[in-house]
Amino acid sequence: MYSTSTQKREWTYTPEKLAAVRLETNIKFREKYESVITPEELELFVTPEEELRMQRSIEDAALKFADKFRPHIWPSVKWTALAFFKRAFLVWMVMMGCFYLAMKIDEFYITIDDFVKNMNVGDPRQNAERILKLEPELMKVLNYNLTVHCPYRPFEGHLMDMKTRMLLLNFDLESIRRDSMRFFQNALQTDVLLVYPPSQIALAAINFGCMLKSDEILREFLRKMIGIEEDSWSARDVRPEDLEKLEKTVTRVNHIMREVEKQFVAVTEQERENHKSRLSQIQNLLPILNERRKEAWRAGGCIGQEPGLVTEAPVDSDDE
Amino acid sequence: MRECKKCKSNEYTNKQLVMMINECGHPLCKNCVDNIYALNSGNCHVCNRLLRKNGFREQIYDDPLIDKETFLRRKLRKIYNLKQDDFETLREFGDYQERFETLVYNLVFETDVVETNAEIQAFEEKHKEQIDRNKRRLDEDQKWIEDQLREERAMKSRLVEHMETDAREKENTTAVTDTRAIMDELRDSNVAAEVILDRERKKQIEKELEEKDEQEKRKRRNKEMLQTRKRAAENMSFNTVIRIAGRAYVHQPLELVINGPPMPNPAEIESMGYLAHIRAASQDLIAGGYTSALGCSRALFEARIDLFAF
Repeated sequence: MYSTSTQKREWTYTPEKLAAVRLETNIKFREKYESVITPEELELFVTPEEELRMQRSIEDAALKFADKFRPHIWPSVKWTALAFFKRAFLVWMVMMGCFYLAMKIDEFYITIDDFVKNMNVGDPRQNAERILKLEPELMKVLNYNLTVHCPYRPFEGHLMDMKTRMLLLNFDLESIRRDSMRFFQNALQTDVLLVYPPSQIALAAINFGCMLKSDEILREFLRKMIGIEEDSWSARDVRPEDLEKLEKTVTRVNHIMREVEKQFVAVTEQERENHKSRLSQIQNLLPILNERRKEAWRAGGCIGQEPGLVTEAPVDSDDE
Repeated sequence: MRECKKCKSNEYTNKQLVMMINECGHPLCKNCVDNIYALNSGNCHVCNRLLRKNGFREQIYDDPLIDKETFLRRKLRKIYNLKQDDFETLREFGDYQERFETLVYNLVFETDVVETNAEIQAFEEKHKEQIDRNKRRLDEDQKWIEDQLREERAMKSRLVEHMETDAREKENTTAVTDTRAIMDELRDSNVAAEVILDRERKKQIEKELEEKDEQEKRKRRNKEMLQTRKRAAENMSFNTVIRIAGRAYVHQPLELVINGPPMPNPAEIESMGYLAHIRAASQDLIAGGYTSALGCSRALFEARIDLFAF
């Protein structure tokens, strides 16, 4: 469950920490090529903010891909894939591999051939090869923490609770489903899944859906869940911790909704084009830079570790 | 499960069923062989070929074709026993071996039998000397095996010898040293000879007594062990043994910290009407053990976990 999961332990950040990690990764990348890069080329390297925009642009494309994918992808597969991507992006980038891996993890059976059929650029065989090659590297980057808790089941749970406990509503709760799904789609393009527990994100989605119909639903609902009675007689017996929890939850839910609103800036066509060209430029530059590093290393007399060489940590044998 | 085609007796009906097979490869159980070939010759019950009773050998392999092949192969090998050294090039040796295979195949599947036999005959005459020479020669593997066996035997005999000589030496030395010591004493000391001899004799008697004691003790211990074992065997029962030690295990249900609003228990889930809002389980799902209450509690549980994590 979520409270004991690696998702909570290893991959949950505060917004400040997220910014710090992104900055750190960016700096490390630049340092790697410092000695061999010219200033003009250095211009090409992205700042953390630009990197974030590029990430959003890729995510946007990914969501479009997911919606067009046949057979229809389950929402939890989408969420898992984007979660992998965001986590990996804190290290480096690749989206299709995330999708393929997410399908495997979530038991959404698709063969690699059917998968690459949905990709409309590139040669299918090459694509398949690349994705399969990426898989183990991706898992390594994720530190093999592959279980992602999605907010869809908590969403259903909250919905069921509402339907059972709140009998005085004057609208059909099923109608909020569409708006809530839109909320989730937008939330996927923000950082909320790296910061907040899925049950809270789900509650925010419900609130978003109900916002247009009525304001006070959230409070009432939470009161019923926590067990705080409404009428003034037993209101005196309410424990202060319960009230505190109520307030904090309401604040948190509102906070999440605001975050999603704030961070979800749709990516324009122009921006996407810019990103694409920038990306390809950097991709072309990287092999050259790597060669330069290698030569510098050789010129220096081959001291230290060869750049680009992957050292594997020793693995304990099963035979012992 | 082998079955005789003629009398339809199989290993189930006749525990001592022995299948026999002749040169035509059609198996027959021993009883049938005795009955049909009582006059030492008769026709095969399948292919009608004329067969002799003493041409029947016991069938080892379940598949009569395999049995026939191995028999023919062995027979032919006695003639085609040339080794690699008899040929000048490796190619020739290969060709020879392939030819051998073809001959065996022909005989097994009874194609061109006459020509094959003629060829075999010709080969035998042509290479008579080589065949004879090879008959006597043991080939490499055999030699190696014999060497190994010989070495093993030699080593064993050597070991046995060592042990015997060791034991004998030890006896001799102790006896020798003892008597020598006594003799020295008798010679050198001032004490009377009888005293020394007495002492020695006493020592010997004591030693003997000790040994006897040891033996007695050993015998007693063995007897005791036998008795205890017998007693245990008599009292053994097939009921469960009630152990008195240790505390009884009491199951403590697992406590899960939800960090969220309280979770309704299964009775409440039903009474409060949650089940109306979840898809009802179909018959196959119920058969598999899933109930809609299960799905409901999973959703409710996940909705509550860490809801109050701030």
